Amino acid sequence: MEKCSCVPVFQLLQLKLSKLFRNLAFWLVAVVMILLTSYFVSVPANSYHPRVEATQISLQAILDSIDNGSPVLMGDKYPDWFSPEEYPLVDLGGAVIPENAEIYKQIAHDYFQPQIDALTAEGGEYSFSHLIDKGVRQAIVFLVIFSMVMAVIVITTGYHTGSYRLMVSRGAKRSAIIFTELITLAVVSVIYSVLSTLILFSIVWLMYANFEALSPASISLLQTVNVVWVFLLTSLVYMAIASLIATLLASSTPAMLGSLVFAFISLGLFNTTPCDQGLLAGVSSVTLGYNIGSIMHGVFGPISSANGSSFGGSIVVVGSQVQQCFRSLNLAVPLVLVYGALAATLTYFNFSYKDLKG
Amino acid sequence: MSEETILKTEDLTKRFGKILALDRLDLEILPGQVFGLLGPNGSGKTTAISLILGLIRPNSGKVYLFGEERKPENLKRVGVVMDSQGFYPNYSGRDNLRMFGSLHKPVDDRRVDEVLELVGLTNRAHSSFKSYSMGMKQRLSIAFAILDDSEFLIFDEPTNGMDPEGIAEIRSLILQFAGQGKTILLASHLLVEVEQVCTHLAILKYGRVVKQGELQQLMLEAGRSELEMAVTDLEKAVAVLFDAGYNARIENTRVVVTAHEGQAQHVTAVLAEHGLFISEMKKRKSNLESVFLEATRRQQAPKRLT
Repeated sequence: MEKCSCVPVFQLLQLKLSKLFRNLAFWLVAVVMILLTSYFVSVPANSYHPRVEATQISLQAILDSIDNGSPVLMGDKYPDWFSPEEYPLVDLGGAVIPENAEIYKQIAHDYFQPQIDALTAEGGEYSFSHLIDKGVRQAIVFLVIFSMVMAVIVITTGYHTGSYRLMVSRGAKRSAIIFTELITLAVVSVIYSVLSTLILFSIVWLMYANFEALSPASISLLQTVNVVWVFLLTSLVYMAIASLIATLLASSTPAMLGSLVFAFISLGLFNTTPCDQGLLAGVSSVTLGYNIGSIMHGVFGPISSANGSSFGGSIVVVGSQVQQCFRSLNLAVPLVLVYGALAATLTYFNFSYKDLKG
Repeated sequence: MSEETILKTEDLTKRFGKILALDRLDLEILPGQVFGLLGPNGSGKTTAISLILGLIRPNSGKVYLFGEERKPENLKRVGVVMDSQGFYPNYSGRDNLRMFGSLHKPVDDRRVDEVLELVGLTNRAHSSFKSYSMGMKQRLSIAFAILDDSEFLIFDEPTNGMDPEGIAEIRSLILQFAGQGKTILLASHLLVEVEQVCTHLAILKYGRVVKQGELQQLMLEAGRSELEMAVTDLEKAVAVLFDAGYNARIENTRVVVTAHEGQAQHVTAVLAEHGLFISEMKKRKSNLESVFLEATRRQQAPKRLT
């Protein structure tokens, strides 16, 4: 059998990676991604101190009113053993009874302090793990955008500089060239995913360190692994789609515009489900965005707003029917993988048969 | 097809949408030939080269390199100099050669330095490619083409955008390679370039070959020889020659008559009979321009496909 003397993929890969790390765009994109991720990941944690202060102001107002002998109206929040009639705050002369006032103050403390502690306790809105879950939703936006930007830069540079023409005219197989491009993008994807994870955990850790939390920040291995694989899967799939757009258009500006438009529409579909109303909601279940949203919903739980209420829930009840709004992980993950594989395969074939014009 | 054939194209046709860029191109280049692909801009030269190198796909036709149908492996025996060089702008010329030169086999640093010296880039070998002038970029491209001592070199408009000094250098290099027995395909729209360098020629217009053959033979066929002479009375001489059945005209202070060398004695005698004496006579060499004009004059643009 004749030995293939074609250009080894390894040589091409070495060439591509060496160029990648000397590419200013690679580092620039990484820096911008770090800055934006850092800022937006910290946003949910910024509301912690105002929430605590508001609670403390309420507590102080009650303590002041106790000192003034005003009746404290706490409704049914009194403990079972306590009855205002048994522990009057003022005597018949209108003077504050100090022992009883202390009891009232203690009750007020016991009512408000747990509210503050609950914010950072396990499962609380500002618990370390909950902040990570929220941060993932912020970080993934930039990961999607910058993964697509980087894929377009990597693929279209070869057209723009003519290096694809040079390699093909030098005897490199097109299949080997595009294969190494996709491997290079996979390397970029790993780097950006790990970087995003590191930034996410570091920023949340720093924010958490500023809280007066009873429990220290604890990093769960499972949560870390979940963040990494969701980031990696998302980045890889969007890079594959950007590669397809880039090879189809073979020009930097149209490919960049096309990819960004796709990214923004897709990001908008993360939380759009068939349970919502509107045109996009109707077709959302077949979109990549919805399936990524389903994965995030499945792995990191429902999206919570700042005041703790949830929206985009798992199910809604329509009439007598319970409707599942997000797809299960078991279905969403394979579907996302199919989208990615399809995009990579189409990129491969498109590049293999496309004219490389000068 | 002879096993000796370096390049052969059969019926090579390429359309870009409705535009027929190349129409049934048949070329055959034998070892040692310096083959010129001559034609105005847009005549299909770069399309032909792109098809030969597999950069674009033909609508029909085949390309054979070194006696077998073109495949990536036999492109390794071809050195190419194209307009879009494809080198990495942030790398030095030397690093570009080392990186792209290592695609097939480990690069030999001594050979890299050797080719850089040959093209006169030793002093700028460590400067980034983006800082190179057009001429330097072209020279680096040539250095890359000869890095593996390829037996077949393809030059696509190698002197485009270069200053006269650079043009002379590049032409001298091509002649040097030809002298080493390398087979060369030179695509150019410059008549002088092709005339100075090539042994064989194909003239392209509107994607079609309108003339093909050995350069000297084509020039002989196209230009019936002309004799140029200094005569005492120019107008009378033209009239006399016309009466004698010659086609003659005045150019500057000379009479130019269409006649081959063997007719010189008769021309002299005819003029002498009428008291006209020739003080100087020389044979005018027909040039490539006349071949080109003759070949392309009647070629009409093809109609667009509907």
